[in-house]
Amino acid sequence: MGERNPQRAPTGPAWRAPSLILVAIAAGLLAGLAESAFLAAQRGIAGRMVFMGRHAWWMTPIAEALLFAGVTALFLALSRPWPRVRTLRGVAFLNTGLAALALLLLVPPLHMLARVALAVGVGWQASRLVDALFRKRERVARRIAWGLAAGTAAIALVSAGITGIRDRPVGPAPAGDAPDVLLLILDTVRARSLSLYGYGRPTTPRLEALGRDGVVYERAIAPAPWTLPSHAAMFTGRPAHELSASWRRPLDDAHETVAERFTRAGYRTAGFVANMGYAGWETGLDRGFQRYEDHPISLRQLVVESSLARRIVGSTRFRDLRGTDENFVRKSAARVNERFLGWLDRGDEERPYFAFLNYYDAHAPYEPPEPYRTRFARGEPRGAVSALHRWNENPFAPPPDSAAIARELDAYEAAIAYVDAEIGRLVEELERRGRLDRTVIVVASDHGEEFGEHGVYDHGNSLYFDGVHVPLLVRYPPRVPAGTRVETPVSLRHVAATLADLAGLEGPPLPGRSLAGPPGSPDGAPVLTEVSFAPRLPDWFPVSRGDMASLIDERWQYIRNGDGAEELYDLDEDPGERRDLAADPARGADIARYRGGLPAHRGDRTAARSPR
Amino acid sequence: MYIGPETLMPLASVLAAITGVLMLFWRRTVEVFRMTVQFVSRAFGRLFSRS
Repeated sequence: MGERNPQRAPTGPAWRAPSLILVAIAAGLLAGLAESAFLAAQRGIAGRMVFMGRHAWWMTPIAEALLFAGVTALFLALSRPWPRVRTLRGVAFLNTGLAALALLLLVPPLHMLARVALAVGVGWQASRLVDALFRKRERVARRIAWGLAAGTAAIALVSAGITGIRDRPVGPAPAGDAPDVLLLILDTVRARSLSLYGYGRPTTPRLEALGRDGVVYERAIAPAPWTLPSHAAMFTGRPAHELSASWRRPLDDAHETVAERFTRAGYRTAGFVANMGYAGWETGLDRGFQRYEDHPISLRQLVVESSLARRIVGSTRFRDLRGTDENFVRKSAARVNERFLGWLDRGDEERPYFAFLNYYDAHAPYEPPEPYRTRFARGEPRGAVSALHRWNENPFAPPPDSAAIARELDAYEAAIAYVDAEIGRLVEELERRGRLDRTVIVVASDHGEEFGEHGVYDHGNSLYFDGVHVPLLVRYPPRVPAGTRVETPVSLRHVAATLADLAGLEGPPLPGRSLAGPPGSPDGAPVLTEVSFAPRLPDWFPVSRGDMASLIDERWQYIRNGDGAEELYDLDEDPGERRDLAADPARGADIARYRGGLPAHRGDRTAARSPR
Repeated sequence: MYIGPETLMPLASVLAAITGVLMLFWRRTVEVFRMTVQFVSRAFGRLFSRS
């Protein structure tokens, strides 16, 4: 039945093991370049974020090359009894199959078995081609491999060069009395859990001390209940609905950012972010910064640049083996501060800076370091595996029980305490350097966090108060009065105008208003917060029903859901928002007032976008 | 007729898997296909030659 496959009997000289390893390295480098190109094409063509690191163009090829070389070395060691497979054809089959699998992992809607089957088929056919082309050309193949390695090294050098060139101030330095400006964002920290706002646990003693030297806003409201639109609003001064930033789309360049304003004014500007996903460079939040550090250049980051390795380290089984749900690559607050202070040391002492620091430690999975881990544990602390984090990955499953949620809350607040301590160390360091009192310090959070108070967890799923009520404090002794607390609700979108005002930047005012006016400035208008529809979530998640908007003033929170349903809460009498007063006839006039006021805040977007 | 992601995804996976298997056994597949075509041609030839 047909002739025997001639490829079963390899001809030509046998390849040496080092040459076969070089083949694997070449395959890995090519696979890595192809991965980066595929993701870049997705970003360029579809305009969507693909969460690719800035250094992926050289880190991904190196990661895949190391992985392929390791797998091939293992293959050669284990296949000693079978010389028939220890050939160019055998190694080419293994590596082209791995390369195909690595690329197929970037194609979402395929079952894993289908990916493997297709990768095996592609590897089989590709290995025939490679064998036919190079079986008698070992030296040529080695040269190609070395050439690819040199090309990857060149990409790395160019990348480092570009980073260095961008990290230079533009134009003359501003006037001698221009202050330094430091914006500290505590990702995912809700006001309710802070002792700064009267919480029973001592979660933020350093922020309390900082607040005594400045102004604390009792009712600061995030423009959106999740990272990207909230940061984008803070950086541009515009409400979230005016901005392009969304679940998969970055902030475009339609509006000036506060970093661009500082750079033009001659400031050194830099961002140091630990939320490498939705505050990374791809989101557009880096626009205007001369230096923007998100994904670190580290061994762990190198590992996750490989799509194959990323799949493994992100799997539940691997996390069970590690005994932790902690992200494989995670930047601590201490590390963020270290990178910032190192950048400060390398620059011109006489030129002021604007620096943005984003701390991710209080974001799920909550993994505070010791000794904070058990600081607030009631009874047995949460184990290394986070039931809530696992549930967030599959919200259609039943949520964890109340005891597990309580342990998660303990871990969350312990993480807040850790970040608070690191902020304290940073402030002490600035004071030691004699720079503290010439620095405008703004501390805020981009959004809060929910722990099942309304049947939802995490953030970005609703507009309830715990998800949008955030800390905000401003410290700058020359202009901001100490020991002041402002009760009036304010939106974080005014941060941009406030920073520009306190730094005395010239130019047309940024959107919003400076919060550095006299204490108690009247601002009777309710504050807007909003969130866009999110697909593929359980239907009891409010955000799954369409675009949502909420107005918050001194006493009330009005919520308009995506399906048109309205909610009203008395935040003074019912801070936990347990009693919805929307159907109460006595509150009819209030409902009508907020309903009528929403279009003025949101333009013509009040007609909610719904999936139906 | 509505074909949404819940249909397209399994369909894409099935097609990908079939493609992979075909690529793995490409020569055998081509051989089987050739033999099938030859068998069908001969069968039709015998049928028409009798009539």
